[in-house]
Amino acid sequence: MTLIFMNLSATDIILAITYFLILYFSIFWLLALLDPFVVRKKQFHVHPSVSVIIPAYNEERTIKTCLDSVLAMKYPDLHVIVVDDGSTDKTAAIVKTVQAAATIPFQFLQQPNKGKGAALNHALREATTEFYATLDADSTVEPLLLEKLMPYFADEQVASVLPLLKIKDPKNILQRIQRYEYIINMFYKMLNSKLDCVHVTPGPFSVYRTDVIKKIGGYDEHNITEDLEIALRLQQHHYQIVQTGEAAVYTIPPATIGGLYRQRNRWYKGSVLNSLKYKHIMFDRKYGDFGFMRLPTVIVGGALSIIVIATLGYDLVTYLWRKYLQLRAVDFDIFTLLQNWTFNFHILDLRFVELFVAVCVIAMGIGVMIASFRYSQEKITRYGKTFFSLVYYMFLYSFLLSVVWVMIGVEMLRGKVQKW
Amino acid sequence: MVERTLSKQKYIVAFFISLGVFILGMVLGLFIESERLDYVIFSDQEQRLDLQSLQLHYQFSDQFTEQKNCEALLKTFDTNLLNLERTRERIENYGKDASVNAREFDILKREYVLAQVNYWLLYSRSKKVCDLEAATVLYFFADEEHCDTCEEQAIVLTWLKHKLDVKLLNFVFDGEYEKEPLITLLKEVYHVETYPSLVINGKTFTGFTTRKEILDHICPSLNLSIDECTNVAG
Repeated sequence: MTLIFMNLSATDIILAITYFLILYFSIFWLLALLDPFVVRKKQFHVHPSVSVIIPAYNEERTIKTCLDSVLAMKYPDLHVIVVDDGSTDKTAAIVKTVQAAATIPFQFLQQPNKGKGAALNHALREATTEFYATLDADSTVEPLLLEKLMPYFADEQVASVLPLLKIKDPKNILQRIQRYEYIINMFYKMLNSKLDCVHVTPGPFSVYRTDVIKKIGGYDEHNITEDLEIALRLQQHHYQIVQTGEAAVYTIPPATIGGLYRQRNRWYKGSVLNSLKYKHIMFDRKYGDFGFMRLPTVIVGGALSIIVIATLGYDLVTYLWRKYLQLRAVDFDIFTLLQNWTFNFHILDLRFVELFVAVCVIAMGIGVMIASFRYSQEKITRYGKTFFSLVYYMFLYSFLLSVVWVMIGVEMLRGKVQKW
Repeated sequence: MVERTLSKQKYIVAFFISLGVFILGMVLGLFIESERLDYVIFSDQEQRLDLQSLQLHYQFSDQFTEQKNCEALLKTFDTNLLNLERTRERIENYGKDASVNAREFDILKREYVLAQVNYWLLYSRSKKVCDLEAATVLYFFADEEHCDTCEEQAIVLTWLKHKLDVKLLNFVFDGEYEKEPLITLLKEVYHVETYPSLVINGKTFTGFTTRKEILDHICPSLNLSIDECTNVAG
C-alpha cells in the first residue's frame, strides 16, 4: 500500500489549501448568523440635524434626480451640501437651479478639481450639523431612509450607520449580475456588522457622527478609496459601524465590462493598499475579530482569487491548446471522429471529489443567495428574467472579478500608480 | 469605544467543520477508488476470457481449415482490441488519481501490456492461417512530459482507425513502462528510442508521423489503390 497523497503534486496541495481556506472563511462568517444582532436603537425626541453631502464631478446626467430624491426625504432637520469638484459640464448650473427652489438649508460649494476626498473635507469644514451622510451623485434615496437609520445612533460608540445598498433599475445583464452581487454583499456586511468587522462605509449614504470624523482627521485626500480608509480609521479608533437592513439607497453600477473593470480595479487595489496601511491592526488581539479575520481576509481573499483563477485559467488554456493541436493533426476533420464515435462512458469516470467540492460550493452559494434576498427584502425576479444573469453570476462573474485581482497583482508588481 | 472580542469558538468550530467536509471528500475519494479498482478487475477478467475465446477460435481455424471463419476472427480481434484499449486508458487515468491502490492499478497496467503483446502475437499467427489483410501499428507513447506530440499521434491513429475500420489494428504500448521486460524487448527489436514511435507492418517510424506517411506505407499492404488511399487521406 502506498502512502495516501503520494500522487499529489505541489499544485494539488496549493489548490487543496486554497479550497480549505475558502471553505473555512465561508463557514466562519456563516456561523455569525447564530449570533444575535445586539445594536441598540432609540427614537430621538428631537431629531438631530443631518447634512447630506454630495460631492460631484461632471454629474450633469444624474445630479438632478439625486437631489430631487434628497429633497423629498421626510426628515425634520435636513441640510444639503453639494461640492462641485471642478466640473466642466452643466453640473453647477443644474445644482444652482435646484438650490434656488429648495426649502431647506442648501449650500453649494465649488472648488478646483482635487478629488472626492478633498471635496468631502471641504463640505465637512462647512457642516454645522451633528451628523452627516455622504451621497454619490449617481445615487438616489428612499424618503424615509434617515428616519430609519438615525435610531441606530443610540450608543455613542456608533460612529457610522449604513443602509442597504441596492442597484437602481438594472438595464442590462451586467447590471443584473451586479444586483445579485450587491444583495449578497449586504448579507455579508450584516454578518460583518454582527462581529464589528465592517471595513468600508460606501459613498452612497453612509451616515456619520460629524464630530467623530473631524476628531479623527477627516478624509485622506490622497486615498483612491477614501470610503474604505475612513472606515478602517474608525475601526482603528474602536468606533462601531452598523450595517442595517431596513432602508435602501439606490445606485447605478457600471454598464460595461470596461467600466466594471476600472471600478473594481480601484476598489480592490484600494482595499489592498489600505489593508497594508493599517497592517498594524492585523492579528492584534485588541482589535478582536476585525484584526484576526476581517482585515487579513482582504489580502488573503485577493491572493486566493489569484491562485484559483491562475490555476483554472492555466488548465483551461492548456486543455484548449492541446485539443487545437490534436484537431490540427487531422486537419480539423471532426466529422470523421464524430461519425464513428461510440459511447464509452462509465459513471466511475466522473471526478467525484471535484464534483463533491463543486456541489458543496453550489449548495452553500444557493443557501447564501436565498438568505441574502430575504435579508434585503428583494425578489429575485423583480427585474424580469433572471436565468441567464443568474447562471453568469454563479459560474462566470467570480472568474471575471478574479481577473481583476490578477491584473492588480501585475500592476502592483510593476509599481503602477492608481489615480481616482 | 466598542468592546472587541475574539470569537474563539467560531474559529475552532469553523476549522472542524471545514476539516469534516474535507475528510468526507477524502473518504468519498477512497470509496470511488476502491469501486474503480473493482470495476477494472472485473474488466480484466472479461478481457482474459475474450483472449481465451479468441485463442480457441484461432486454434479451431487452424485445425479445421474447411470450417474456419476468418472474417469473424478479424472482427472479434478488432472488437477485443478496442475494448482492451478503452480499459487500458481507464487504468491509466484511474491509476493517476489513485492514492492507496496505486500499486494494484500498476499491476493491472502490466497485465494489459501483456495482453496487447498477446493479441499482437496471436494476430501475427492468425494472419498466416487466415491470410488476413489488416495492417498493424505498434504505437509507443510516453507521458506529456517526455512526449510533446503523443496526443496528436494518438488522434491521428484514432482518425485512421475510424477511416479504415478492421483494416487497421493498433497496439498501444507505454514506452516508459519498463517494469515489464517485454516492453524493453520490443523497443530493442524495433529500435524505439524516442516518442512517439510507430512500428507499421514491422517498419519503425520515429517522431510524429502524419496521416499521409502512415497511409503511404500501409495502403500497398491493404491492396488499396492509390485513389482509395487518397480518398481515405482526405
